[in-house]
Amino acid sequence: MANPQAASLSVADEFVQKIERKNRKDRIIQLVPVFVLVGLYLVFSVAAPGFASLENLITMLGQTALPLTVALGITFVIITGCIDLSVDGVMSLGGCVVSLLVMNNMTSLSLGIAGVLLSVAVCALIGFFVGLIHVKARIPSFMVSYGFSGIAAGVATAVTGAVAPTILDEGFRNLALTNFLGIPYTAWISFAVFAVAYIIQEYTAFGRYLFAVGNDESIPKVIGVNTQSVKLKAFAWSGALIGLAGVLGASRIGMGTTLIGKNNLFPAMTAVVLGGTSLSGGRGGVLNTLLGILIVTELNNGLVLLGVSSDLQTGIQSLIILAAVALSSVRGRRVVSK
Amino acid sequence: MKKIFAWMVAGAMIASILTGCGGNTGGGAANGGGEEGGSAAGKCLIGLSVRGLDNPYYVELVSSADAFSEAHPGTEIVTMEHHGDEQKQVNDIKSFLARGGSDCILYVDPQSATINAEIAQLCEDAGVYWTSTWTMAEDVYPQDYQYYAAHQTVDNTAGAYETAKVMFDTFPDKTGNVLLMEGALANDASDERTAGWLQALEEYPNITVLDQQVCDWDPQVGMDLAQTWVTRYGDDIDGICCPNDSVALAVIEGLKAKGKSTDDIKIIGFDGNQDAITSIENGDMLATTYANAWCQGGYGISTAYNAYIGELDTQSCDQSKRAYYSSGVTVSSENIQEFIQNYVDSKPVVDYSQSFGGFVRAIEIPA
Repeated sequence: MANPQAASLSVADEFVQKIERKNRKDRIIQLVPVFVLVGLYLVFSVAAPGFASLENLITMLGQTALPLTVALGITFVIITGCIDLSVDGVMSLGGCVVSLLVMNNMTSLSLGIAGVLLSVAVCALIGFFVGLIHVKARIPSFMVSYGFSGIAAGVATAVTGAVAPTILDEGFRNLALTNFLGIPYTAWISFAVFAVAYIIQEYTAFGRYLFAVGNDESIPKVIGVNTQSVKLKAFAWSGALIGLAGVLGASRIGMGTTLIGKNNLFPAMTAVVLGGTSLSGGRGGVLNTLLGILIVTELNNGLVLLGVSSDLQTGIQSLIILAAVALSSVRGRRVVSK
Repeated sequence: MKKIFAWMVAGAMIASILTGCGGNTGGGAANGGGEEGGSAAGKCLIGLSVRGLDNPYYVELVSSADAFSEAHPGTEIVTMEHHGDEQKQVNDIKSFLARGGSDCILYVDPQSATINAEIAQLCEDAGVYWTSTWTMAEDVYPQDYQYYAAHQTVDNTAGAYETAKVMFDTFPDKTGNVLLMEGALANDASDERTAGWLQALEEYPNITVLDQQVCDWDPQVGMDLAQTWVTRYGDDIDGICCPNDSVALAVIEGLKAKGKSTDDIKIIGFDGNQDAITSIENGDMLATTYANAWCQGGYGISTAYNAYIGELDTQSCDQSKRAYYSSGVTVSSENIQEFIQNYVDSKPVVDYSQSFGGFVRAIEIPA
């Protein structure tokens, strides 16, 4: 009688130990982006003139505005195990639409803040449609979102015509041109978005469902969660934030050009993965994304301050990013590499 | 139910794509200005193969073609946008040649040099005269073909050289520090523009280059880069050379956001976009090179047209003229009013009877 009990105890102990080991490893892996961020900071502080100055830190924080907003948007989608490739087109659309709605030299409209909200709403709607087609017609999300990127870019070109409208709304331009504590308001907006995203992720049922859907969709389904609705909301959220990034971009450059969204997808995606969010879903979060964005910004800025020539920069950047991702990602039988 | 939904979605997607195209066709038809539609028989079709009408440069080019067509009854403009897809460009040209038969000419802005040989062969076989702009392939020279009438391009190097000199001359004692922002690595236009700046720098020994970086032709990247430079070099910066106007305008915005004035940091661009002209007028941007799409279109089309109507014999004419640099216009605060008068409020008159219009110097062809 005693023997089997002892054996079962030791099996249970072993299991507990195994879980503890795994948790410890997970915690260390989660800290890797922090190490990378601090490590790069130390290296650049010593090697790059002016890197650690307060002015440069403020410059860097200001530069995070757009990529952080985009990355926070796609983070939720990536946590659910889907992907949103609509960034470039939808961001251009957000920027072009807002440039026509606030005071500008092309239309007679001057909607101010309502114009901003309307532009974000249009992009949220596009995100919603991406999600709808993905979950209802069961077309892979990368295909649908990539298609919508093209459609949105086409609409952006069509609404602005060949000549980019110049934005004349001073209040809108001041989002990027004026600052609080040296950091432009565009960056403060992105920090506020981060706070909202963090609250949603940590303290709402929707936030927890995102991870559940990403881990294994069949489990939340069994307990009665509408997983399709979770995905739809994630895509709409992503569309809204990508649109907001376009709006902030338009405020920065003062024009509604289709160039606003150009080449924003990959930096944002890189930052999300670099921060430790898994492309297979279920792991990571907005805090990881913030870390990823800080690392990417720090790298861009530091290498320029070091005076590294452009041809080497891309290579060095990619190497550091690859190394960081290799260190921070969990690999094993259960993890799918796509 | 799912199937019905899928079909509805597919229908909606197709509809939205068609609407998108509809917008473009509408623009094209409007640009066709005054031409009666219908059969092309007895007409000379003028094909324009260009990247896309989302770029102001190409819009101006198409209006220039329309002006040519208005001056030449019996011609019709067909605009083909390839949106950066070289295979689509080749296919468009094939369809155009099939439609036009021998009664057509072509104006091509090749997406990349790799397709020039194919286009040259297609036109040679069809007996259709054509001219190219901006991109010429090594080993595919107009001189080697009967129907490849000419290649013309604005002199990037000369344009960048002139604008850089405008900037350097504003520096007290012609002494200062500049930053060079390149378009992209291993890109012809970018390399040539940088070469122009460097050429000007050789003449100004007291001007130092603080740093040289690439912005991928991306205004946002250019803006971040400029702000990083301001952090590092602060008040030492006297000027930033930008690869095109879109980037230059973003850099100006970036400097403003950092509390810097364009009186202290001079900015030059390239292209002569409408917004850049306004910026120069307002005293923000210092100078740019106007790529002269209006004249380029007129020169290219009239050269091919003259060959088509037999006014120009591509075999017996001066061969060195068949690949040439045409003149860009340097625009700065000095001549901005004059420029607006000649190029914005009115358009320069292109002498269509002349072939190889705007010839400045021949492009050297290796023997």
